[in-house]
Formats: sequence, C-alpha cells, structure tokens
Amino acid sequence: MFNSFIIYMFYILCLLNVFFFIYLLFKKLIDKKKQNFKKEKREYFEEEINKYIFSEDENDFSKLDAALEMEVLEELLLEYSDIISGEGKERLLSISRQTGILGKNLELMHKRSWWKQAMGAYFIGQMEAEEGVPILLEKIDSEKEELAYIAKRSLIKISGTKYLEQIMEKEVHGSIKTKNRVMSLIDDTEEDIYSTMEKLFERENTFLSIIALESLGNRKDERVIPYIKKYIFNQEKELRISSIKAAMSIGDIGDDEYFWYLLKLETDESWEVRTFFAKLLGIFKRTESVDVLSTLLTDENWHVRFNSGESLLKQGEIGILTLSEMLLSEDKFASDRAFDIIQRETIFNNLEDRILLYGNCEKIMGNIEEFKNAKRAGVTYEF
Amino acid sequence: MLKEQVSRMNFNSFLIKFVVFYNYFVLYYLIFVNGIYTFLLILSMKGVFIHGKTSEFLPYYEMLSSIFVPPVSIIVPCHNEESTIVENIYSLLSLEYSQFEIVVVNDGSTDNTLQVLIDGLNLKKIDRPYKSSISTADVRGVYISGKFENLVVIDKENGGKADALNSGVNICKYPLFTAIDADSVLEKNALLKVVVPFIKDSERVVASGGIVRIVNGSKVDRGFIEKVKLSQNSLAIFQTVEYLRAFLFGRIGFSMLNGLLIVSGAFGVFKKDIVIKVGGYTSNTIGEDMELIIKIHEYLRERKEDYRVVFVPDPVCWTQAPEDIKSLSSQRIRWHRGLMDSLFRHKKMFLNPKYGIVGMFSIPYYWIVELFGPIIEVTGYVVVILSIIFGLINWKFAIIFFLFAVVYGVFLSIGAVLLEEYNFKKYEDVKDYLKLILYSILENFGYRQMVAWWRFRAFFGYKKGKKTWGNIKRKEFTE
Repeated sequence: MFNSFIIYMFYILCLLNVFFFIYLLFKKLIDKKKQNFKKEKREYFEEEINKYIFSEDENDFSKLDAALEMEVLEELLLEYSDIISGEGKERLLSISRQTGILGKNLELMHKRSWWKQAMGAYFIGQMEAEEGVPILLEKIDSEKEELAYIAKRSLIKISGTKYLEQIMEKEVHGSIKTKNRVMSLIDDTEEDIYSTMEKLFERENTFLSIIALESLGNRKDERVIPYIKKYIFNQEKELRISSIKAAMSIGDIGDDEYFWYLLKLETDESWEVRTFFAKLLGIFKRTESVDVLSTLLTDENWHVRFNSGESLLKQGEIGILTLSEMLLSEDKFASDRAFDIIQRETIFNNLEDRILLYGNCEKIMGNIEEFKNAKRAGVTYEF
Repeated sequence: MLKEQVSRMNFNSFLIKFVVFYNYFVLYYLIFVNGIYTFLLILSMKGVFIHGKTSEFLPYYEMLSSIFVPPVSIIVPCHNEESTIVENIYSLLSLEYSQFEIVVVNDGSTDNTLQVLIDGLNLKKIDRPYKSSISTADVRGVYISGKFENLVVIDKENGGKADALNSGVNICKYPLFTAIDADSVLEKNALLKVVVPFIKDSERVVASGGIVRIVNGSKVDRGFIEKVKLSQNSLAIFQTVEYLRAFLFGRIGFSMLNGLLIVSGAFGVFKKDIVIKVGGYTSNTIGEDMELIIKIHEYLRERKEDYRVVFVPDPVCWTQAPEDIKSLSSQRIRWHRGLMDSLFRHKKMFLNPKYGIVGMFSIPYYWIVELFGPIIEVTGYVVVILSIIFGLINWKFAIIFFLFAVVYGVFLSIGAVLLEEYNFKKYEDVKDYLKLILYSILENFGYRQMVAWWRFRAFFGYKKGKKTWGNIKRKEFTE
C-alpha cells in the first residue's frame, strides 16, 4: 500500500517536473519574442508620443486592441508622467483616453482583486484623470492599506487640496500611522495647503498637528509661526520637536521676539528636543546663539553636544573662534568634537583659507596650534 | 562459546531491528521535511505574486528624490579585501538613493587593505569622537575622504566580522543602517527597494533583507552588473540553484509568517536603535547575522511588541561564490557552526509559545531540518549500506524511494526557478535556464551528499564562541 503510494507519487512528480520544465521553456522562448516585439513597439510609441506632445502634429492616437501594444504604451505613459507636467500631462491623459488605456484602468477599479484596483488607481493618479475621482473616493475607505494609500495619493494628484482634509481624517483612524507616508501625500499637492492645515490644527489632535506643522514648515509658509509659538512648549515632546523642525524650515525671519522666545528651549528636559534646538541655532546667526551653543557643547547628552558643534560651525567666524577656544576646553568631548569639525572642514571646505580672511585669524590659528602642541604632540594631522 | 554466539546473535538482531527502525525513521523524516518545504513553497508563491503586483504601483521615481525616504548608513566590514574593496566602494557610492553614508570598517586586515583605501579614496585621518553604544575592539583611527563627504573609514584591531559591524553601528549617523559584505555588488536600485518596508510601515518594521545571488559568470563593469549569466564553473552553478531555493522559497515563506530568522549578513537593513537595544551583533559567534535576528525576535516577543522582520525578493545583492572545494567546504562548515551556535544560545525558544511563530515553527524548523538534517542524511547513507550487508533491503522500494527523493528535490528546485522566471527573469539566455534545470537534477548525485557531509563534519571540532572571518578566494570583478 505504502509502496504503491510512493510509486504513484513518484510518477506524479515526474509528470509535474516535465510539465513545469516544458511550460517554463516555452514561456522563456515566448518572452524572448515578446521582448523583441515590445522593444520595436516602444521605439515607435516613443516617437509618436514625442510628436504629439512637443510638435504641432495633431494626429490623434487610435484605440488599441492588442494587449501587448497597450502594455507597452501604458508603461511609456507612466514613465513620461513622472517627468512631464502641465500641458504635456494633459496630452498624456488625452493619449490614454484615445487609446482606451484609461478606460481599461477605470475598469480595473471594479475588479475583485485589490492589487488590480491599486494598479488602476495608480495609473489614474499618474494621468490626473478627473473621471477617476468618484471611484477613488470609494477606495480611500478600503481595508487594504496599500490600495487606500494609492487611492489617496491619486486623489491628491488629481484634485489637489480638495479632499485633503477628508484624507487626513482617514489617516488618523488608519491602522498604520506613518508620518512620512502622510507627509509625502501632502507633498504631492502643489496648491496652497494652509487652509486645510489650519483645519487640522483645529482638531487638537497630536498626530494631525505634527503633520500640519511640518508640512507648512517644509513649504516655508510663515503663517505657521503662531502655531510654532503655540506648540513649542507643549507637554508633548513630539509636538515640541515638530515645532522646532518647522522653525528650522522657516529659518531666521529677523524677528527678535520670536528668537528670544525660541531660546527658552535651552533648558528643555528632553535631550531630543535640545538636540533639535542645537540644530535650530545653526540657522540663527547671532551672538546669543553662539553663547547658547557653547553651553550646549558641554551638555550631558552626546547627541546635543554633537549637533552643537555643527551649529557652531554654521555661525561663521565667531562660531569657528568659539570652536577653536573649545579645543582648549577641559571637557574632552567638546575638545575632540571641535577638532573633528575643524579637521573635516579643512579637508573638505578649505577652512584654513577662510580663517586667513577672518579678523580673528591669529586667535583661531593660535588656539589650533596650542591644541596641537599641548594635546596631540607627535601626531601628524592634516592642516 | 555458546554464550558468545548468543550475544553475537543478540547484537545482530538488535542491529537488524535498529536498521529497520532507522529506515522507517528516515522515510517519515523525508516526508515530514518535504511537507514543510511544500508548505513554504506555496507560501512563497503567494508572497512573490503579491510582491510582484504591489511593486507595479510603487512610485520609485518619486521616492528617489523624496525627502521622506529615510537616510541610510551603509556599513561595509572588510578583512583582507585589498583586491576588490575600492571598486566596491565606488559602486556603492553611485547607488540610487537620496541620502546615505558609507562606513567602511577595516577589521585589522593583514594585507594592504587600509593603504589601498587611503590611496584610492584620498583618506585623511581625523580625531573623531563618537558614542560607543556597543563595546568593540580598539579603534585605531577614523578616516574621512577628501573626495566623498559621505564616506568614513574606521581602522580597528581585529575582532571578527561582528565586532567590525558593531564599530560601524557605533559611528554611523543615520537611524537605519545596512550591512553589506565588501565582496558583494548591489544593484543600483537595491537600497531603495529594500528600504521600502520601512517607508510603508516605519513603526513596525525593524529589519528587512534582500535577495543574495551568485555573481560568478556575470559581467561586472566598475562594480555594476552589466549582464547576468551563469558561471562556467559547476560548483558555482550548483550554488546558484541552492541560493534560488533558499531565498526564493525559504526566506519568502518564513517572511510571510513573520518568522524569518535570517536576514543575510551580505545585505540587510536594520533599525539602529533596536540593534543597540539587543546589544549589537554578538561578537563571539560565527553566524552573527542569524544571531542578531534571533535576538531581535527574542527581545521584541518578550516585550509583546508588534513588529515585522521582512524579506523583499526584489532588491539584489550579488556575491561571489567559492569555486573550489576547499573554500566551499570551509564556508559550509562555518555556516553550520554558526547555525549551531545561534540555536544553542537560544534553546529556550524551542517550542516555546511565548515566542509565537518564531518559537513554535521557525526555531523548531531550524533544529529539526537544518541542524539535524545532515546527521540524519549521512547516517541514513550508512544505514543503507548496513541494510545491504544484512540483506534487509527491498531493492525495488529503495530505488523508487531514492528516485522519489531526487524527483522531489528537482520539483522544489524547478519551483524556485519558476518563481524566478515569473517575477525577476534575471537569466535571459534559454541556455542558462536549461543549465539551471540540469544542475537541479545533477545536484542530487554527489553535490548534495558532499554538502551534507561537510555540514555533518561541522559538529566535530565545533567550539562555542569561535570568531573568524570566512576566507574564500576572491576574484577581482572584471569584464
């Protein structure tokens, strides 16, 4: 009984192996032929698309029936959509309509499998096809995270900020709340997002406020400043950090009151906040920044000290002078960190030449020499 | 005299009983193992299918320039790699990725590796302070390049690969890092693809690994793959089939279950903070890659965290396979000892429901199939010989059974080739395809037994806590 079972299994496996072997062999041969055909078609379509987009040629595309031709053209349209915008994009959309490729993708949105729907959603978004909006609105509620995300992205690509608030609302309730993913969605819209972000602030939801702060900051929208002031001393560490990030993106707006307000972060209890604050001070090129950074260079936390050194460098002459003085500090880390930065800048950015132009040239060079002689005797360093 | 005869008869009958018992044991073991393989193959087919479809709507182009793609530190540990190291660093520097740094760790090379790096990359020694989160062997110096701002070289005392990786973890500055073998070649978009899981699910994903393929035979120009071809060397082709099977259905299957125990040391991305939390790579082990992943599973499962260790089948890291028996045998013995090391260290996880799928499936799989497999296989051959001596063998059944095992092995290999052809199509030539199939049959007649023997030998001379760099004869990548 068992013997015959093994024998039957043996025969079945032999047949399966032969079947797979022949199937794969044929597939391989057919794929090769397909590849050559696709290559030819690709060249042809590329020329046609270029003519349609860039020249006066108004010859329309005809509807395609052959699946392989559609596949080639669809791939090309997607590639073009990554690099073309404005009128050119409208022309791409027109090609996809004429050839039936858009219609095919709209149909995909009604298929049962979620990945087919996602592929359709992706194409519709890339083409910025208005006719896809109603079905995309349905799909943003999909339980399949991937599909919902692609649908949201496509909606934003097509309609800008129109559905942004609705989409953000869904994100708050989604099972995966990934800040960068949400922010990259917002990044897809070229329109002014302020009014939508304002509504997000009104929700008093930490996640949404973080998104709004950083998104407005990334766009250097100064209307975010009142919100920075509002949240920079919030109880929640994440909100304080996002406020600093927004402030970093906005930069120094020359408002002393605002700057003095930010300086209060020096004694924040969280090292993460102090780390970002140290980075922020690199942007505010003022004497007060240098003073605070000198203190932060001896902070108890390594990350804070590390970033303080970098920010001091950004302060220009006065920062470099401070760094050179730090070389002689009793705090070994501060001294080593200062030396690391000075060495690196010498190698990459000709710091030595820059120093020669500074009023404090002699002082800085003297400090460096003193450091080298006193602490690093016998070791050769590049200067 | 009679007593002696009786005791000899008793021994003979015991031996006969044992041989019969063992034959049945091997038979059921084979069925059990092949059942698991089939289960993994089915899971992998599903995994590869989903991956293939989802990657069609991933906006790779946008991701290339996106500020929302997390920056990555690439740690390249090296030991006596003077012939290939500079070329490899150059190829890594031209990876398609928005923001990354390369941290090369020279682990006390006794050849000219450091000087080659200094000359080839215009390195300058600096006095850089860094946070030593994981203790390592002494760092002799930190170098930065006058040519590339995103390149750091650490020169340290020899401490083994894990120690070198830990030094890299200490000094690297980004929250994600990848560890790449110095003798490997990454495809241009590989880094971006392997980081995708961290973009999609940054909260839960703690590690992700890509596929490692055999570069022997392929055309490599300035550190990049120009044309994928199979090697002319038989040993390399056997390993190509093995790698396809191991990665395309082994790892995908385990990843689908969230029970992946190995993210290849040749190419994996990790969250730096979690690696530091588990104490970094274990220095006194050979299989530091597997050890790290098991530690991460152990740590996170004990804390009941929701996390993912994923395998992405698309990003490819090409690596050189040994082409001579000596290197191959030492590599396999080293790998098996690494496996033993990790499993012995974490024996408490075996069939322990506290560790979920990892404790109940992955760890037992590695104990029963991977660790003891070679013992059962080699002793199985001995028992077959004994069966012949005692006249216990049913030749018809034995031959059918052997052929069944071969055909099943071929079926699994063809399954892996099928997955390869459906999604990745790396080998364009029909000739290469035919070779792959031919070698998946041939491997059952000699190669497989040879590998089993090496792995069996690994049990002898195993010493816990031994740390060495694998020495394989490397070739320079040339066209």
